[in-house]
Amino acid sequence: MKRIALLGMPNTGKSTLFNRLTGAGARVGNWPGLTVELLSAKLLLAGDMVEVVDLPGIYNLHGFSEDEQVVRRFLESQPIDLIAVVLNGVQLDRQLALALQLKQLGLPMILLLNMADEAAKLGMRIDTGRLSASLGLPVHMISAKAGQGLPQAKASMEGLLRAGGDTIQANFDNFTEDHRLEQETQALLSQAVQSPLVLPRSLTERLDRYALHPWIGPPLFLLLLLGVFQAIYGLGTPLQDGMEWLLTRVKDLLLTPMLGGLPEIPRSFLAEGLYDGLGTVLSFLPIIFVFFLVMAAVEDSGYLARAAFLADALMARMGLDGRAFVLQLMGFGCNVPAIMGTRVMRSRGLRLLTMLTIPFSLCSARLQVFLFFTTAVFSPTAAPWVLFGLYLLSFAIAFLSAFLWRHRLNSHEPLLMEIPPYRMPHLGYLLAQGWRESTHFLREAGGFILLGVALVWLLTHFPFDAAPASAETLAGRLADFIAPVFDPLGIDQMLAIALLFGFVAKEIVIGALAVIYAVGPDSLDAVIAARVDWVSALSFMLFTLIYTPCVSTLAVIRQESRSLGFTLFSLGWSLGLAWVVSWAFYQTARHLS
Amino acid sequence: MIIASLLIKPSPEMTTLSIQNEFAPIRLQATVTDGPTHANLAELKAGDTGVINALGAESELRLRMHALGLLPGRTVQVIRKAPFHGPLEIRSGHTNLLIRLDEARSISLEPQS
Ligand SMILES: Nc1nc2c(ncn2[C@@H]2O[C@H](COP(=O)(O)OP(=O)(O)OP(=O)(O)O)[C@@H](O)[C@H]2O)c(=O)[nH]1
Repeated sequence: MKRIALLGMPNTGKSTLFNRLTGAGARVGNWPGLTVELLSAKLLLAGDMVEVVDLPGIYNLHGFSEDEQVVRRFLESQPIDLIAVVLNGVQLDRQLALALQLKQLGLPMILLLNMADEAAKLGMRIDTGRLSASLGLPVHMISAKAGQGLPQAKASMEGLLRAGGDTIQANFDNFTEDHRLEQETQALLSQAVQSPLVLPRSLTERLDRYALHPWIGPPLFLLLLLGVFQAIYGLGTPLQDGMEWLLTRVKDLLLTPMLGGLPEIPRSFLAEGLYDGLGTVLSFLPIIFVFFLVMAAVEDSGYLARAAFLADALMARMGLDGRAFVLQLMGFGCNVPAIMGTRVMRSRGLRLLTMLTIPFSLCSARLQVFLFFTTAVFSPTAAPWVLFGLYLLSFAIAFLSAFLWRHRLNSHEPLLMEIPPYRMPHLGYLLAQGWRESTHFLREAGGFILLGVALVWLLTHFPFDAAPASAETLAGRLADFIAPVFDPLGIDQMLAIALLFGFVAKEIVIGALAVIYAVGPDSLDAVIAARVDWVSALSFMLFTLIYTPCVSTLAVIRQESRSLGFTLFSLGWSLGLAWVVSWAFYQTARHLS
Repeated sequence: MIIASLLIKPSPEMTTLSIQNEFAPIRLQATVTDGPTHANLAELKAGDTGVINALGAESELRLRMHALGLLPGRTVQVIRKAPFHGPLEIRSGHTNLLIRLDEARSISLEPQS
């Protein structure tokens, strides 16, 4: 099969183009260096199936970053029929040099100048004919987002693939000096690119006067955060209620009559174990969808680079930098990709310190637990504020951890990154992203959750002659055993069992509680509200926030740090901190009230 | 096709090498070759522009600077400076960049005429 590699600098729209071309789901984000794994998909071109590979963004083939090494190794080791170089047409002044460097590899090549829409808005004129003639390769202006110019680009690629002979290997031998390339770039630019001397005052500039203002910017950030979570709350909870209603109807009208003939134990396993457990988790799916939709909008808008600018001075005092702050924000979705995102950092100290803080980011799985507990225990007006408080606390814990360990894991890493213009997120893309993430959640966590609720059912029902979840069952005995640890935190035995399972994945916690109390999604909150007061509930939430998010996070920390010692340290630190914070809170609150 | 398996980890030797790199002192070319008359980027006020004379950073960072459009002879403008010795936002050509004070100090500018 023939192979096309998409290459270019970070944030030029490669992933967007890849999605456009192949219809497959690569993650797209307006954040330099987001693509850290190689994505590939098949595409029908020139009558053949062709494999398209989306390579990570690189600044320079000689570069030292992990991404740049990945790309170089890929080019050295893989046969490639065509490289499609994606540049930001607006930034040709600095990006054209990369194309010249890639041209020296001697592979068939096509040049795609993306962001045609932005170039036009700025009044830039790019003479693609001239560039094409000077470079000796096809050049097209495209807009990956709007789809403009893509048919022509595809036709060119087909032409090159047809004309191409045998697949050849990239040739790294005849590189010229970078400064020669610079002269060539300047010559080409002066021939082919016209850009107005005075740029129109852009929307980005006007917005940034507030967004990056020393005194307005930070409160605006918090306001935005609050707005985002109010939106998730406002949009998500009615959807969740609808889902709960639906699941209960299905159980009452379909499942219960169907299982009527079964003996008690398998009936209880299917209805109170699997169905209630899974159903409770499933009822959060709409919220997950809304959550990822909103996250994708924030990521795609370009605001995250502003957050890095605002936070950098503060982060520097904790041994971190603005990028670490952004990774913490991305951790709100899921900690795993955020930890992989630390690959953009070069120094080990900074990477490890950032990895230590990301697991405290309140991820979407923990969000489910908190949504559930806050709505069950607090009034509808207080609940969103409690949730917002937990988000702030998640920052505070992360900052505290970094502050305490900054000398051990220190670094002197320079910081230099692009601040892209604001871009309007594309609604179709956002919906696709929300859908992709929520189905991903189901596929990834589904197995864990299924296994988890089945196991919890067994623990709370075995031996079968004991009353479910009573002291005689396995769960009861296990709870007795761990009670000395959780009693001082005000976390009762059944909640402690749920926490034990939550170690595997937080998605299991609510499902486990549904199984433990043998109730469906619609009445679990009433049961919890009757058994747990607000002090215990908060203590439980604090512990859930701080202790290890899930086994996958541990695994990825191990993989990225390449150190078992660090992984164990991170595990121990979060467990210890969780206990101490919950204990301090619970004891203080009990004494005061 | 599992291309992701190509994500080869750098060998331990490479890692140590890069760590040494990071701690290499930043050479300020300006002070060596041209005497102290050159201002650096960090000294500009918000709104000011200057022409880059030389990049003092070590080779890895210098490559990154080149790729982001910071090259001798190019004009840069300081858009804003974050308070509390925070980073600068600068513009070079059509690219806006975030740069920390330390890195900005390593970029010397042509004398103002
Ligand atoms: N205006 C405009 N924006 C675009 C266009 N193509 C992509 N974008 C936006 O540019 C940003 C970056 O796009 P990505 O596809 O993530 O870029 P990438 O090159 O894959 O970036 P990395 O993952 O960092 O390597 C996103 O916000 C896109 O929505 C375009 O043609 N016009």
